[in-house]
Amino acid sequence: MNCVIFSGLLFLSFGGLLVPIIGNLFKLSKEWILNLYMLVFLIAGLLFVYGFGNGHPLFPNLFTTDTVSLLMTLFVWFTGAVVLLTIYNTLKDVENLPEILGVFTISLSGAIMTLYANNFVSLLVALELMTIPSYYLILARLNIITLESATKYFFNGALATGFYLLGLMVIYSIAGSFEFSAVNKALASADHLGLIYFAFGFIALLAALGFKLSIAPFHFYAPDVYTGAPASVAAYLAGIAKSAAAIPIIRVFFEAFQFQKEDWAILLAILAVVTMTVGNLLALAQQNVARILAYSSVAHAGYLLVGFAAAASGLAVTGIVYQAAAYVLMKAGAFLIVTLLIYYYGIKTREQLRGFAKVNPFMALVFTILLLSLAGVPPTAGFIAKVYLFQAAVDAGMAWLAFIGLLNSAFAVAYYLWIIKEMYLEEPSNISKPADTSFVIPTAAVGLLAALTILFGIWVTPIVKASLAFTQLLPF
Amino acid sequence: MLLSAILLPVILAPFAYFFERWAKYLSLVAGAFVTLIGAIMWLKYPGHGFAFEEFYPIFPQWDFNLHLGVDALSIALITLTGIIAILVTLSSWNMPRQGAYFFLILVFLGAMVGVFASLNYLWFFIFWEFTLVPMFFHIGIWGAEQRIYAAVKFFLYTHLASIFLFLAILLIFINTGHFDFIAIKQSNIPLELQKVIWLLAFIGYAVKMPVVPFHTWLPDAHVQAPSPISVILAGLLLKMGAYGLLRWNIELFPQASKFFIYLMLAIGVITVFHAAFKALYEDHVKRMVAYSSINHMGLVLVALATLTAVGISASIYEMVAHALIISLMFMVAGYIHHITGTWYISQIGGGLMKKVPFIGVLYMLGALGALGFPGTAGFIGEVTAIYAAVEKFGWTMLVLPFSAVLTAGFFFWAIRRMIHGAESELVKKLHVHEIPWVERIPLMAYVALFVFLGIFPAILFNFINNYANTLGKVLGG
Repeated sequence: MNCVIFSGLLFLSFGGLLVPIIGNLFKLSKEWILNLYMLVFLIAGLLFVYGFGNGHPLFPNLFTTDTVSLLMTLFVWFTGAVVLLTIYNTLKDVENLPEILGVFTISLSGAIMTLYANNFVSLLVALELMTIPSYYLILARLNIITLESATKYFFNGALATGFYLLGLMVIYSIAGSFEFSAVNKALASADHLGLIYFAFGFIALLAALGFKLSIAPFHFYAPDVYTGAPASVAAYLAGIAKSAAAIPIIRVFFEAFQFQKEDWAILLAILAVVTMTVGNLLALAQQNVARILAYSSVAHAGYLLVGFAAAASGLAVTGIVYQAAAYVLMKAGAFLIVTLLIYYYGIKTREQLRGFAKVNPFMALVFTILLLSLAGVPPTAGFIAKVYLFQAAVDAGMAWLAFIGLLNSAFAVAYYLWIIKEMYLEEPSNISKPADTSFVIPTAAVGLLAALTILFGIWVTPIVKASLAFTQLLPF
Repeated sequence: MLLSAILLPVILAPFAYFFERWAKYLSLVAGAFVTLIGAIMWLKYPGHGFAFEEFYPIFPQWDFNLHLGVDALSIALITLTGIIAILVTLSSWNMPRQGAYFFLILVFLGAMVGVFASLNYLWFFIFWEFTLVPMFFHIGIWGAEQRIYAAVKFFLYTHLASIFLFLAILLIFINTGHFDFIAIKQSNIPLELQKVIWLLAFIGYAVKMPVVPFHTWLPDAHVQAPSPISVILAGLLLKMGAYGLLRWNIELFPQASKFFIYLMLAIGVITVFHAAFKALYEDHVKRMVAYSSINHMGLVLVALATLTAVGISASIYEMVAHALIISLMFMVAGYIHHITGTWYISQIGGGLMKKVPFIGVLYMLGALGALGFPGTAGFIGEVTAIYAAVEKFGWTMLVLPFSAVLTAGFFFWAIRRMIHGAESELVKKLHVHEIPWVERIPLMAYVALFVFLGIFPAILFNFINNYANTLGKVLGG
C-alpha cells in the first residue's frame, strides 16, 4: 500500500467517522449529508486513481501494492459509491441514517484494505474492519428478521475469526512469521511433522475464508443473512465484501502456500463442484428474488473455487481476478435492483415481478443485463470470467471440472432466465407505479454498473493486464 | 467494411426503440446495408481464400481479437442474411410494439453478420450465444399461446448445447494457444484430441441445425414464434449450425471429419426420414413446415457428410434454397392461421383456394419448392445433394429420393385437405382480411428468388465452386 492509497483509505474511514458528527453539529439535512459523503467518496476516488504508480510504499511487511489491488480498489470504490447512494435512497426514513452511511463507509475502507494485505495479521485486521461494522449495517432497520440475520452473521463471523486465529497460530508455530512470503519460505523447508501442522492450519484457514466466501459446507448462513438484511446492505455483503475477500485469498493461496498449492487441487475441486451444485440447485427452488440471488452467490463462490483448484495453470489467477471484478459489478448491481424493487414497488417474489418491464422498462433492462452477466451470456464480464476460469481448469488437466462447471452454469441460466421471463413475457399484474420517483438516480447509477459489465465483457485488457502483471510478481 | 455491417444495425437499434414510428424503416435500412455489403463483396471477391479481412486487436496476448474475414461461403450467407432481414422487416410491417421488436431484430442482425464474418473462435461464440437473447424475447413476447414455454425451452436447450461447443473452444485454445481460425488451422493438434474437439463442437452445431435426436426444441419454437421470426429461425439461425459445422469443424479438422463421416451420414439420413414421417403424421399447419425444415437440414448434413466438393457445393446451395422455400412456407402457414383462426388442417377442412386464392397458390408453390419440383431451387439442391451422396456412398443412398416422395405426400395431402375441395363450414363463414400489399412483397420475393435460383443455379454454384473444390481436395487427399 502506498501513501496515496493509504490517505484515500484514511479519508474514507475518517469521513465515515466525522460526517455524522458534522451533520449533528451543524444540523445538516439528509441531502447535505449525502452530498458530504459523495464528496468524501470523490476525493478518496481521486486519490485512488492518483495512487496508480505514485506514492511512497508504506508498511511493506503488512501491505503490498500491485496492479490487481489497485484495479480492484477502483471497482470496489465505484460500486461502493453506488451502494451508498442506494442505501441513502432506501433507508431514508431511518432515524440514524448518517451513522449508517458512516458505518458503511468505514466498512468499505476495510474491504479496500483487505485488497492490499500481505500479512496474516493485517489481513485479519482488514477483514474485521470490514465485517464488524456490517453487523450494525444489517440492523439498520431493527426488527425480528434483521435481528435473526445479524445474529447469524455475527456468530458465523465470530466462528470464522476463531478458525482464522487457530490456523494462524498453528502456522506461526512452524513458520515463525506472519508475512506471506516468509511463511512460504519457512514452510518449504519444514519437516514432516511441520507439514502435518501446516495441513491442519491450512484447513482451519480454508474454513475461515470459506465462511467469508460462503463455500459449501459453510454456506448455510448466506441465504438467510442476505435475505434478512436490508437488500442494499446485502448488495454490499454479497457483492463487494465477498469479492474483496477473494483477492487476499489469492495471496494466501499463491504466495503463502505457493509451495504446495497443487496438492490441494482435488480437495478444492470437490469443494467447487459441491458449492456450485448446491448453490444452483437450491436457487432453482426459490421464489424470493433476493434468495435466488443469495444462492446464486453461493454458486459463484463455487466458480471462484474452480480457479483455485486449477492453480497449476498460469491462467487461474486471471480467472479469479476477472471473476472477482465482474462479480462486484454484477452481484452488487443485481442486489441493488432488488433493493429498489422492494422499496419502491414492494416486489419480493418472482411472481410479483410479472410484467414489470411495462411498468419500468429501464430498471427491467438493467436487471436483465446484470442477470445475463451472472448467467454468463456474452458479451458480458461474467462470460469472460467464466472463459478464463474454465480455461484454467482445462489447462490444469481438469477438463471434467470445467465440464461440470459449464453444465452448472447452463442450468443456472434457468433461474436467471425465469426472472427475465416474469418481467418481460408475462402479462402485467397489478404493479402500481410508486408516488415517490426518487428511484431514477439510483437506477441510473446501477445502470452504470450494468454498462460496465458489458464494457468489460468486450474490453478485457485492463483486468487481464493487471492480473498478468500480478501473476508475474507471484513466485511461480 | 465488415465491422460496419455488424455495428450499423447495433447502433441503429436504440434509435429504433426510441423512435417507434421510424423503427421499421431503420430496420429496412440496416437490412439493405447488409445486403449491399454482401453484394459488393460478392462482386469484388478475388475467388479464393479469405478476403476483406479486418483485424481489431483487443488483447493480442490472449488472442482475443476481433478478426473478421469472409470467403465465398460467408459472403453467400451474409448476403442471404441481408435479404432475409429486408423481407422479414416487410413481413413485420404491422407488428405491434414495433420499437422493441425492431430493436431486437437489429441487434440480432448485427450478431448474425458477426457469426458469419468472425474468424476468431471466441468472438464467433460470443456472437453465436448472443443471438439467443433477441430470439428469446421475440418468441416470448410476440409468439402464440404457448410462447413462454417455447421461449424458455429454446433458450435453455440451445444454451445447454453451446456449453459443449464452448468446451471444444477451450480445448482448442489450451492446446494451440489460439482462437484464430488461420492459426488453429496451421497448428497441429493430435488426432485423438481433434476427434474429441470435433465431437463436442458437433453437439453444439447439431442442436442448432437441428438434427435428430437434438431437434425437439425446433417444432415448439417455430410453432410459437410469430411467422417473421420463424423465417429468421429457419432462414438464418439454422444456417448458423450448418455454417459452424462446415467452417469450424470440417474445414478446421479434415482428419477428424473423415473419421466421423458415417456418424454424420447416419444422423443425416435418420433426420431426413424421421422428420418426413413426423410431418406426414402432423395435423398442425406450421408444425408440418417445421418438420419439413428439419428434413431439409438433414439433407444438408447428408451432403456435408460426403466431404466431397460436390457435396459441399450441394449443402451450401441447399442451405440457401431451404432458407427461401421454408421461409415462404412459414409465412403462408402463419397467414392461414391468421385467416382461419386455427392451426389444424382437419379443422380448416378445405376450400381455402376459393376464399383466399393468393395464399392457396403460394402454399402450393412453396410445397413444390420443398419437394424439389424442377424449376425451383429445391430441385437443384436435392438433386445435387443426392447425387453427391450416391457418388460417395453408393446406390444405397437412392433411398433419399423417397424422402422427397414423402414430402410430396404430406404437402399434397395437406393441399387436398386444406386448400382445395369444397368449402367447409369454417371457411364459408370467414371474413377475409386482405393481406396488405407491403406484406405481399416478401411472399412474392421468396417465390421469385427460389425460382430464379432454380433456373440459374450457376450463379451460386460458380461463386462457391472454388471454395468447395479447395476444401474437397483437402478432404479427399
